[in-house]
Amino acid sequence: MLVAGAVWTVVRTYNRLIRLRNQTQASWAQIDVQLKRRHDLIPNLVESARGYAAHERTTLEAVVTARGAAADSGLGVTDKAAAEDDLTAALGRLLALGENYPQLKADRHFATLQAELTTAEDKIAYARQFYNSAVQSYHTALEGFPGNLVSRLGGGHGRREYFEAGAPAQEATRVSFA
Amino acid sequence: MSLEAQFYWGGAGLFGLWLAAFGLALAATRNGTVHPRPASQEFGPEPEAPAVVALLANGWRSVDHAAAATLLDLAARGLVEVRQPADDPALSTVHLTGRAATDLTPYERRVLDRITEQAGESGAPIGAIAFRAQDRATSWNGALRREIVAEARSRGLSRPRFGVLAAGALAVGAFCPGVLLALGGLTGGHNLRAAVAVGVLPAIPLMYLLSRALGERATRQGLERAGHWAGVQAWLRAHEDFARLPPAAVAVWDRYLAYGTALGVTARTTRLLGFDAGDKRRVWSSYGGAWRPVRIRYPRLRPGFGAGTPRLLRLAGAAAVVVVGLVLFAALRRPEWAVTSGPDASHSLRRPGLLLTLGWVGIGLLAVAVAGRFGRGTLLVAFLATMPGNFASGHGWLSHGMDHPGLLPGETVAVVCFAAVAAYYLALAVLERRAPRTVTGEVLRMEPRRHPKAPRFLAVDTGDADRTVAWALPAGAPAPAPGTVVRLSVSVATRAVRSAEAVPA
Repeated sequence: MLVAGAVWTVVRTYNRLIRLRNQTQASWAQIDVQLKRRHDLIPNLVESARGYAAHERTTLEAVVTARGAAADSGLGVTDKAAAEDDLTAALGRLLALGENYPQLKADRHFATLQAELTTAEDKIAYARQFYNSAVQSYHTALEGFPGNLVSRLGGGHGRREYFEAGAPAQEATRVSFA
Repeated sequence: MSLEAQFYWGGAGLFGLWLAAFGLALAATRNGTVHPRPASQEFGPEPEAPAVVALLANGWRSVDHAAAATLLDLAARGLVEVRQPADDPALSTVHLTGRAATDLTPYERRVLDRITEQAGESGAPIGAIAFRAQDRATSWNGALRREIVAEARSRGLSRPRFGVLAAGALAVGAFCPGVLLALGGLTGGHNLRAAVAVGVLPAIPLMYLLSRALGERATRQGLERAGHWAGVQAWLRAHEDFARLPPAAVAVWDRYLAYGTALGVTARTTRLLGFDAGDKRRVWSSYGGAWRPVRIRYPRLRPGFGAGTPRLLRLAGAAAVVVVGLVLFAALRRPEWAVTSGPDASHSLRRPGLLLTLGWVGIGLLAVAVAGRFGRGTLLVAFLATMPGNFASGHGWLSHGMDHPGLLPGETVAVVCFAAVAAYYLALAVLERRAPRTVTGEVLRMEPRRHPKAPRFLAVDTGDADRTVAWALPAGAPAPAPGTVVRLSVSVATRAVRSAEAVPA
């Protein structure tokens, strides 16, 4: 009876760890999807801005460069977060051009892209929340008893990195573009 | 076969036919299968309100958690605010933000009105959102359901299970077997009243079945959306934290918490945010200034609860009858009354066990009569009570009981107990004569009793304690509504309410 109980506990804990690990992966995939949506908006946004502020080359190129760096699929979680922070900061400067160029600000296409970007930023923020929540649950299960023992049986368990946005990114998501 | 028999068989046949038709109608109008989409955090374009999602998630049968989900949705949209001042989420409070509430649906307006009613300008604990009376909670939730269903129908997600024609045909059809049975009764020579009674009888279960089946069912679009929300539900359920999130987490999770509640994945939040009749033993009250939980005790087993002086005297008299009766019975009975030997000993009505039992049951009946509790079943109970003594009449210790001089040990115990009961009721009757006390406070709850003539429980918060014991409101007295401030004239000994008047606000 005791042995059966122990085996049942081990199996249950093992399955839970697997489930939580998979959830962190699924949550990360959601972040990737949302980030890709944002990346897809950027070329159009840059093109729209170029039409009115062509001589702001530095700003425009900074956005393109930052997007290229953030879109690198080989980045880890921390590097990805840092690259996204850089991209958010560059985007902030690009959107600020609207203040200096009234025609750009009045452009309907540019305004639509800004709104879409806001939505994308919101979704990224929630996806990040889900991912970090999943990682936290996974870590709690991994470090608690009997998860700490069962995780040694296999399954490729280990700590995952949190997707932590830097201060500039947090500020950027709160900017109202409307 | 006679005409009467033909009518009866026809009625039975129609009854079966109706059941078959009803079964077919149920099968034809059952909800289609919801095919859950892959787990996803996406709400999709123009998502339905959480309340409508609750209808979809509950299979179109109910709108459980819709009100709580709407409250959280209003919080996510900045119309109300949920604050958690301490570690315990049960102490969270809800506040109005003062933001203009425009473009609200009727059910959102209903929830907001309820919050406004309770929270006012200073806020209220989330537990105070619950209603204090079952009938008000039922009526409020019924209206909420109708409003949500109307919204779901306008979005093309829901439709009535039966069309007007089908429902009408089934309703009319439910009376057809009865008509034939009534005709059978009349043909057989029964009077009109009996025939009508027989005619109505089969319609009762059929109409009951029909009324239970009336409701909503999914449309094709509704099934698609339900599949989408099943995907969101799977996504949220996979995040274990969601089940433990408190209502104040809406500040972080925004509409996700509202949709999670509608989809039934936020167990803790759902438990804390109730728009039902609430816990009748723990009620939030603001009487006296600040909100606080008041624990209510209902003294169901307290002897003499709510009784007046005449009733107490009768109860004391009944107990005294038992005492006197037992003493007299013990003093008067003689061993020679019983027949313990001889050829008729086993059949005689004077067997010791039967004699003793008859004596005790007789005393009991007399006491019941004095107490005024002599009812239709009393004699039957008394008859059954004689059975053990009757069957065990030949047992040795019963024979010995008749020979025993004076009170038997069991009788002695009963005499002492009933003497104490008589003294207790007498004391209550004396205390009842004292001048009544005046109690002023807010009615927390009014709980009916199973017996219609029993005094009802009236829980009143006087504002000076966190615990209270319910008062006994006489069965015929008008019931003050929960939330009313009343001035009661009460008898402390029996907790009886002698008079009650509403205090103007």
